[in-house]
Amino acid sequence: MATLAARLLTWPQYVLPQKLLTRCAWKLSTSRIGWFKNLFITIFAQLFGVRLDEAEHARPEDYACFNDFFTRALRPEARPLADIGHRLVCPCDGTISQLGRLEGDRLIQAKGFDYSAPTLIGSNEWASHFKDGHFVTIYLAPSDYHRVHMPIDGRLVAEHRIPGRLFSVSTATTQAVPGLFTRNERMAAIFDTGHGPVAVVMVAALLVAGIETVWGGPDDRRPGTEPRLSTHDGPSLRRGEELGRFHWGSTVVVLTPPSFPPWRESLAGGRRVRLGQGLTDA
Amino acid sequence: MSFAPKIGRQSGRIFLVVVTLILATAAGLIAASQLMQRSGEWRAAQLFPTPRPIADFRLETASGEEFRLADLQGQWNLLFFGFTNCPDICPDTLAMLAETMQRLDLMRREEHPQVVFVSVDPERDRGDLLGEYVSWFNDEFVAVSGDDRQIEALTRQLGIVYFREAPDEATGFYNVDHSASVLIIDPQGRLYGRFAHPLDPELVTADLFRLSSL
Repeated sequence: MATLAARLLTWPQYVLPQKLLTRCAWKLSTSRIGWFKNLFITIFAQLFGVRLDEAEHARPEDYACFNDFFTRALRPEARPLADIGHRLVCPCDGTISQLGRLEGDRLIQAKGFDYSAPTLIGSNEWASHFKDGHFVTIYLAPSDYHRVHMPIDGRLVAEHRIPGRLFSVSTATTQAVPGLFTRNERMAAIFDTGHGPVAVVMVAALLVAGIETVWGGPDDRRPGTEPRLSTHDGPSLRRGEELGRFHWGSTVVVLTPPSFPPWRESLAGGRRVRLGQGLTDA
Repeated sequence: MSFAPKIGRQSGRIFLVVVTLILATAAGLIAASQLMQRSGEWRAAQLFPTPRPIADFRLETASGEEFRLADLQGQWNLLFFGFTNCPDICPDTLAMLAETMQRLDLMRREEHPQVVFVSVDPERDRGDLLGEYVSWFNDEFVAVSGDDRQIEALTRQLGIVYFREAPDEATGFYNVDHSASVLIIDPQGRLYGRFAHPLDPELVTADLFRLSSL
């Protein structure tokens, strides 16, 4: 259950004008006024301990706006990919919040809270593939690298854009707001892989001004007022290739069918993980 | 006539209560002494009966400074051998050690052991790459390497083995098999013990807390 402290920290989020704040954040973060964006980037990098040394561009001046810096690319050699002996690699940098098996169609959000896969990905049909399967939830902190890559070779077959709230996805909030990942705005992509379907769900959060995909482009980063389900025939993306990016910190959930190998034993909640490292042993 | 049996029943009851109390106290004492002994044991660390001295060696930190035996003296150290292209054991172990340092902070243990990552893949782990990799997990972690001769001068003494597998024909990628233990070096620079896989941050933290009070 949620601690009192977590609840107290969280309740103002229920009444915050989440969408308005998020729109303001987007305005500020796309400002190209030189002194402002350089100062913004410098302060942010200092405050959150962002590591520009491993980024493609190391100086604030090299970014056109704050958002460019936030969604920065890493140097090509910065994240080596695990060998193919590991079926699934980590799709992003971050901290594992939960991982394990689904119980039927239920996933764990935090101790005492669970939620349903069909609600998360917005489709009973697709969710049925993941019944009793595996899930991992990775939290991206503001300082983390914000692009999300393919955990396995796959071809896009469906994309669900689901509108919702924009609660923070920090540890305190996940412990206090029930069904958080099924309330927030999100994008669920289903990929057909050589081993069955794999879902990558990108959950938006407070101040996340959008989820951009490589097939949708920057203008397609927010859902409308109604859920939008679309079927696709590709693109086919290689393991490790970028699939999308967050325009602010958030959470990624990966779902695999029960036939997939389980998560590596030495992975656990609270542990930092890096893009490209092996998540499964086989 | 009913008097005597009544006393009997009464004293019988008292007797039972007394026996129960004695038994309960004895059980409590035994359990407590067991628990005390348990907490006197190491939770995860495997210690050598006598610490083994290490001969001097010469490696280099990622920032280009010399790293020798003297750099292991004066504080507790945790040594781990690996390579930055490692898909599993290395990131898991460094993440676990980073979590352990955070736990020590929460326990108000400000003097952390020095964590040293020794790359056994100097060919690929050159320059900034190695330093950036290790500091991604924790800024205070030290990254060192050297050529094979220099690395072996240290690994042979410590019973660490590593070998590079044949590169993949298509990608040129090669794996490095290496010992996964985290070695404990004492402030005199002696091999004191090790943490074997799998590592549980809770147990490792408890042991490090105790080590730092020695």
